[in-house]
Amino acid sequence: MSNNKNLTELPHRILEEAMRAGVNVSESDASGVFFHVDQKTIYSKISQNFKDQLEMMDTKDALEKYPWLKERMWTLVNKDKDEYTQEVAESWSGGYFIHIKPGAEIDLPLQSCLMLNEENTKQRIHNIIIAGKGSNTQILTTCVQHHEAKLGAHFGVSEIWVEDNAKLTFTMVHQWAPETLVRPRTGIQIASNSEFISNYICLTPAKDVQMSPLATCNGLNSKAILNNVLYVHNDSVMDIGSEVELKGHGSVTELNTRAVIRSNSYLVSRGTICGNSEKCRGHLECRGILLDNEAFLEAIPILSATNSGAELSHEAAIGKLNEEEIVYLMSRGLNRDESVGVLVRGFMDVSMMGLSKDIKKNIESIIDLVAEAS
Amino acid sequence: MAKGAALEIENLSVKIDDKLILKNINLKLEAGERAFVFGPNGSGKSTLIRTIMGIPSCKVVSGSISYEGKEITDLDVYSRSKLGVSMLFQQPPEIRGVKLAHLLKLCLGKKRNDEFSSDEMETIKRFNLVEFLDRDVNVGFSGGERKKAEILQILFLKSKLVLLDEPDSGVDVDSLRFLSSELENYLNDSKATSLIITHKGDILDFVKAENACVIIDGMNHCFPDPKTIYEEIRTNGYEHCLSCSTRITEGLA
Repeated sequence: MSNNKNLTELPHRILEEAMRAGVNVSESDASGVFFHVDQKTIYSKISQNFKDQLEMMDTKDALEKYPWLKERMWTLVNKDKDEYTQEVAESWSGGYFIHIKPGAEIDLPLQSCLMLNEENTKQRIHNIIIAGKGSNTQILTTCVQHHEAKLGAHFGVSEIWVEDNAKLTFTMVHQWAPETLVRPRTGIQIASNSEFISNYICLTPAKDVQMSPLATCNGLNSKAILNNVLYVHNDSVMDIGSEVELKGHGSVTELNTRAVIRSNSYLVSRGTICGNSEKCRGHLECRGILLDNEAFLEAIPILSATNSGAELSHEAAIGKLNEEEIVYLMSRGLNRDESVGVLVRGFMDVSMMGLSKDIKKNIESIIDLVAEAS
Repeated sequence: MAKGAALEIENLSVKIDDKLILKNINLKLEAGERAFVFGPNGSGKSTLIRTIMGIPSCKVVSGSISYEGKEITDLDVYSRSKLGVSMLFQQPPEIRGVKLAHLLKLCLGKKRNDEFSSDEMETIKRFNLVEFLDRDVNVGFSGGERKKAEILQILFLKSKLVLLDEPDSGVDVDSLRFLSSELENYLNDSKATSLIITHKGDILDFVKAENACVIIDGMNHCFPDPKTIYEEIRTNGYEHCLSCSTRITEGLA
């Protein structure tokens, strides 16, 4: 339940941290803004121009308003999947409910911020997104732990429906702290002739992140694109996967991971494509760069098929930065560290992600900060 | 003002992997002087230029390289670049994810999000590279476009010692005319010193130089009047150079 009428009424501590994490807190640049801090939704507002096209509120409020929602919840993520889903099912503090009305063309991104603010907080949330038939939207969700609070846990269940002929670009930026435990559990269902693009960006250290969203392409010619850009460093442990089941005739998926790993860190990058329908196609690509000898990267691509019409492929490569490129940049007046920074930044290029201009600029500024700091 | 020759190479021998490529090279260029480097395939022309730039795969076995009176033999590529040495790469790498605009800004000492000045933008337009600014460096560039991008970087770096590894290869006549005129203007205005490798000699029609250096089997033989020498080579072959009366065995002085 949110009581704040204007973003400026939010505590400075929260707004400053959100901006630090790259959240655009200018409402004129967003179709809607949502804040859930620790265990409470403190802000949820749709911009005036989009009120007819969008609905956004805390999921608990949505359950009261729409009794049918109860039947939908926990159909894309199994309540008993693991101890984390069970914890969320037993005790949760809300989350965002976003309903994009059929036919809505939302040209400004919806911005959500889920924040761990107090020290040693455990956040258990349940998010719902319904992209109505023929709609087109970009959602940018930033999950952040306040830099002054070192210890925390985030268990987030998200269920996303992309209905017929709709397109949803869902970009998630994680900025955790070195002591955060992170367990997102996400299910996506994609209907006929619709497209879901997920961009997951995690560039700051986290103690332990494990996630593997499952997208099911149910509909005819449905499409799922899942991109991950990861910079895993400073004692981080991450197990990041993407799973897609191609059930609809002619459904398509592309899974793409770019990872840079260094300094006592560990990454398992998983990708699974199951081709179970006629004329379905899938490609999985994982490229990883190790910047030193104190890190571990394992790429595990899995392809499976039950239909003879499925065409699936994968490419996985682990290596180091190209020395010739480093020397080339050094000949242009950059020292070795600067050259490596430029190449790492280039490796994490987000131009492939189909981002709107605003979100792209936002993400690039985050990458700039990280590249400079590294 | 630094004293000494702009570039002085003494008894330089260079290995790549375990193979001796350059043997006792001597070469001296005064400030503002230009020399063409000729030589058959595999003779060591590129190795010479890459060694002067400090490319790590070229290992100096003996001898020294001095720039403006200071020995640079042990300096890395970056330090040499900071002193004003730059190189046109014959085969520059493709760098995915790094935009040409970013690279050009780095050459200008700017950051990625800085804007080009109007003068800089004019130069980029003159080079017909505006539409390449937002493209990954060298990815999908034609041979001519790569050369343009390389020369533009050298201009933006305001280099004082310009090392050009076959600026005329893979370039059509119109582009070569344009690039040569840009180079000629830059070298004239900046009084930069230059060493220019050419394999086919096309650039001789457009860029003037005082000297020629012919590398045969890892050793250099220097001559005045590059154009005449090149005609000699075309007529009589490289071996004839060794018996030519205009040859200066001790290197240019």
